[in-house]
Amino acid sequence: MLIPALVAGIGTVVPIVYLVLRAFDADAATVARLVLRERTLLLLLNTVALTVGVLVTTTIMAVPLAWLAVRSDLRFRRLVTWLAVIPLAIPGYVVAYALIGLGGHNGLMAQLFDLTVPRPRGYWGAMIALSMYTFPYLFLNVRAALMGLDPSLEESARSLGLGGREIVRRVVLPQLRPALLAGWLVIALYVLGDFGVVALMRFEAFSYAIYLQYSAAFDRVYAAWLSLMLLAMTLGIVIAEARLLGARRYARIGSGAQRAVVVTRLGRWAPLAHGYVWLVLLASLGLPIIVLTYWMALVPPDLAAWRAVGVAFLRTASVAVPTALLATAVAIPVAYMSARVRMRGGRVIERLAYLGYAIPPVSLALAMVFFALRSAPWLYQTVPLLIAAYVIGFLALAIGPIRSAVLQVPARIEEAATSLGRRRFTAFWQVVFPVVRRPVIAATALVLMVTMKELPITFLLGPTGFTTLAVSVFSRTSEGMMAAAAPFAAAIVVFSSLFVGLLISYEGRR
Amino acid sequence: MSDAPTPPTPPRPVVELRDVSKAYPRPDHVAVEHLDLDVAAGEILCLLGPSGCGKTTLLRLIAGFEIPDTGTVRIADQIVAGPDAWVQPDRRRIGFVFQDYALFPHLTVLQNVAFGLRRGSRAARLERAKAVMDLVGLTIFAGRYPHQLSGGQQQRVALARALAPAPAVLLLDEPFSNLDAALRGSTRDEVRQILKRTNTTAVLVTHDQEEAMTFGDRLAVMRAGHLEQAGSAETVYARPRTAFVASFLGRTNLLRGEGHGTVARTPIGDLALARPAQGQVMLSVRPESLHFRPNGNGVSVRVLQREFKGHDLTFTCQLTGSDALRLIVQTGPDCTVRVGDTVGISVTTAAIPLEPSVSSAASLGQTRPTSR
Repeated sequence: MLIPALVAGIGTVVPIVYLVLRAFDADAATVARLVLRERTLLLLLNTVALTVGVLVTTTIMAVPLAWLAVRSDLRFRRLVTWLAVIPLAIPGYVVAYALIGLGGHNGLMAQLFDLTVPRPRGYWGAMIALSMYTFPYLFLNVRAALMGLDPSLEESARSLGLGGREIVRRVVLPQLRPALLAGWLVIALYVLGDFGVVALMRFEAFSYAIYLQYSAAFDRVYAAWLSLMLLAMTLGIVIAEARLLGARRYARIGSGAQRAVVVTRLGRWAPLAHGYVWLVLLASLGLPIIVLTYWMALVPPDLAAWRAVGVAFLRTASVAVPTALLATAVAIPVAYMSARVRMRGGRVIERLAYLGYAIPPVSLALAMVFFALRSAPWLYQTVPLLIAAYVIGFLALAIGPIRSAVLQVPARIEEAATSLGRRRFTAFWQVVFPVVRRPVIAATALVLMVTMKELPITFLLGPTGFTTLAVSVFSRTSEGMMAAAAPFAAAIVVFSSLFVGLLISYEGRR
Repeated sequence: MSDAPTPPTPPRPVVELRDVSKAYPRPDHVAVEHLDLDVAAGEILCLLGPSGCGKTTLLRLIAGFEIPDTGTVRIADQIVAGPDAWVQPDRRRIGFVFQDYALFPHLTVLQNVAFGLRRGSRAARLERAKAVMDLVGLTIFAGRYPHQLSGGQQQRVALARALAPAPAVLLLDEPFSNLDAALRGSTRDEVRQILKRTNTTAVLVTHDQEEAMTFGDRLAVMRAGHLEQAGSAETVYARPRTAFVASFLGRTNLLRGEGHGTVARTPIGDLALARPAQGQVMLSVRPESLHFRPNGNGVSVRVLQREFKGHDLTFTCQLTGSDALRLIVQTGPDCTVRVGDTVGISVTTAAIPLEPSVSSAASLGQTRPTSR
């Protein structure tokens, strides 16, 4: 049990160490000259502006949507909830593809409305694309918090003489705080870590600059420094979130069963609410589907194109399946230790796994490159190294569900098995594992899906010519070959949507 | 034992604890301090004490879910925990019934009961599981899953599962506390009968004094990690060793007195003593040993409170003299004394001189005072 957990812990530390080693390759003066220049400041400002913009936009998109889906008498609320989660399946670079595919001479707007709009580029393009695929994270968090709100709190506020608006400000919003912070944290991490969108939109945020530095300028010391700065920003945000959340209690205090959520009647506001909901869903979900369909109809892919999609799909699966299985195999002991064993190390290893998840993918990939070049050249540009990087990056995704499932199994169950003559390890496999089997499968599926659509790590770390579905979409889109990219993007969207649907229904049946 | 030398020694206890201690780094866990305990073969011992006295810790030490800091634990003539011995719980031949039953949710009733059966052919194991299920009256539920059963039925599955491998000792951690009051009494009787029929050695942990007195052959009262007194229910009730035991097992009046051999001088007069005592002494007088004297004999008290309980009446009284001592008196249901009356009071049975608690000096601060 201990060994996989230790491997997992060390696995996260190694790349960071190599990043630091590479960063201090140059002498102090060179480092100072490299780091302390205007360009660094510009990158920093760009990244901050992008993060803030996405947070504001996603909040405007997600919070009213969540409120309408939970607390109003809006029709088709279940359908709306479901549709609002599906964008999770659409990778950022596909959304960027859709936005780019709207404009230009052959673009959707030009063909359908005879309106030649410029292809979106830069800040606005990146900000809109990122917002449209990250808002479900905020939506899900706020929705869960709204469902958990105790209506009697609002009623007691009203009995204490507060008006509707005051109740929202003084009772509802403070209780939504943890959900908002959690959602914002995830979105900020996505924005910082995103590569596909900023690269396609040619917006100079950190991760795109790192990639340019590494691939075009071959300036690896500066790339390492930028990676470390990006990592520091990420960790800063994680720490800030923990600080802001503090040790406050938001759970229901006291006893008594909680009553059902009170629903607000929309009345004459209903048309407006519907308009808003469908606009958000059209932009986030409809747009990519429409644009993809348009390009595939404009230039129908021939048999050779579909065969190429099939090959890329199998190639992607050939790394995603082992990644998912390996990540789950490592996650089980880590999750078990952190949930059960009273030991400091267990928590530390779990934290390290989350650190691996927080490392921006571009930084992680670069760190693995440095590691391979310096210490294991025979691993450089091989599939095993790629899988190792995936596992470090996505281990936390598998730990989360498994850990909470193990926590829900009373420790008594294992003690009962031990008192009936089973050793600890056997007890786990015979009585705990069967109970947590569903979350384990869900965790495997989650890692599989995320790996299938992963771009930056594959792009930087994969063997030469290892074009997965994601890499195919990215390289074709960045060269403006919109029609050629469409079938690959469609394959990803279909595959991911199936998985998201599967995961949602899986969760529902628990 | 065949190799026992002459003269024949009594059979060794099935469970033997010697000088067992367990401390936790965190204060919210209850320690056990230098504790000795024996459980004889076929005996049912009830560990009784307020919440936080360490009784569950003691049970878990016997089971092997906790490792003692000092002392030895012996089960069925094998040292299972000691200075240089440690036997894992799965090798101890124990059966454990948990408070929440801890049934395996993914297994049927039959599979749950058969889980601990590992020796013999499949047919033999199945037969044994069926026999145990028959014993607890579960045969018709064999194919069901735990969540399809009521609380009382789950409880019996847990018992059957623990009994199936014929453990040397059965350990029960508050097994009846999750049942509602109506079901508790009948389940308790049933379980006791089953244990007696199978001649099972058992240790049961409870905080319910009534349960301890009716279920156990012997009971052991614990407080703050120490064993205060062990013995049959009758002995412990009639002859409590300490003030804590006297007030935890039923209600009692604690009186300060001055012992002069077989008599003690107290605020309510000179009382006969159950055993001789000299000097300052604390005495226990049960409420049912006090009687009202309508004609004004004895010490006079004023009645403050009257509680009718159906089969009896409980009065709270106060001495009328300078000493504001309060007394509890229990009478039959037809007593005519009312609140506000001033009546005489007398003692009919010998008062019990008490020893100071082992634990009281060291750890009074840790235990909540037992208010009853």
